[in-house]
Amino acid sequence: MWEYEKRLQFPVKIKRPDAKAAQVIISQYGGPDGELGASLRYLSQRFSMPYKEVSGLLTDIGTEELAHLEMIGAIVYQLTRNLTIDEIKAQGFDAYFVDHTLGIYPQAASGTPFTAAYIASKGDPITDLMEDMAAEQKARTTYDNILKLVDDSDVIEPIKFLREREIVHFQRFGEALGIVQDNLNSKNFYYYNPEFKNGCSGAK
Amino acid sequence: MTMPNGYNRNEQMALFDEISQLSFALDEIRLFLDTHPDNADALELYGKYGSKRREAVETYTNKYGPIDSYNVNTMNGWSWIDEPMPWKMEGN
Repeated sequence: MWEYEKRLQFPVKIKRPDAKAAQVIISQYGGPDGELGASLRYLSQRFSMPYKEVSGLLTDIGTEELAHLEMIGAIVYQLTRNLTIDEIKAQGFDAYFVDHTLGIYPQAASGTPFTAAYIASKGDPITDLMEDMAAEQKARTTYDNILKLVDDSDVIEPIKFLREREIVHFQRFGEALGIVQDNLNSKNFYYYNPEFKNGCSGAK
Repeated sequence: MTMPNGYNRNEQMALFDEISQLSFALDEIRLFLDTHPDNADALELYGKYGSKRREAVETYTNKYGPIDSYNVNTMNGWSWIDEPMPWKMEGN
């Protein structure tokens, strides 16, 4: 069950609107490696995860990603607040504006809407954790790229925070993978899928 | 909403920041404990920061308004929806 706390995990206090920056940062709202995908991926994978350390971690990181989704929404909102039509045209924001005005919509920087095709939930703990580790690195690279494109310290500070969190999550998922392997046959991790005990793969 | 007695913007902001920092420490320790559930040092830190946070949240809630929706003081109406919302605290 989720409860909302009336605060952001890290402050977002942007003084200067900038629709160009908003257009790239929105990828972390609804893009392929963004926070919506991350939270949905982890919160979905946890249901069938047989190890409490790992389902606990997926719940907690999934929850934190929702808080990060909120931060990105706040950043994009503050970067586009009170824009005039001239500013919207000059900053190349007119295509987004025509469909969403100044509303926040989950899409990538390219305009592609969010899709569950961005995530995997494969029902196998090794596979799912590999997916999660890759996801954290993809998010980290995206934040690296955003940092190369923005120059306002009000924007840089929360983005740096979000980037560092991806690195910590990657570390935790690596530890979770170790816990899964400790619970499996050390001679062959792929001998069976602990999430599906009614069949046996051919591998021995 | 009328401001309660003793309202002090600096104190409010300082307390709010303290809650943010203590909460983040707990967020971090929680993830570590998920994969290291028997780590005594982490468990102790969790307890220590947890009680500091509880205190800070109680003080803030009594003087300035709710952080979570299960402890709203309804004496002056439904302050849960008071502005500004957390995403609207832009700089000036």
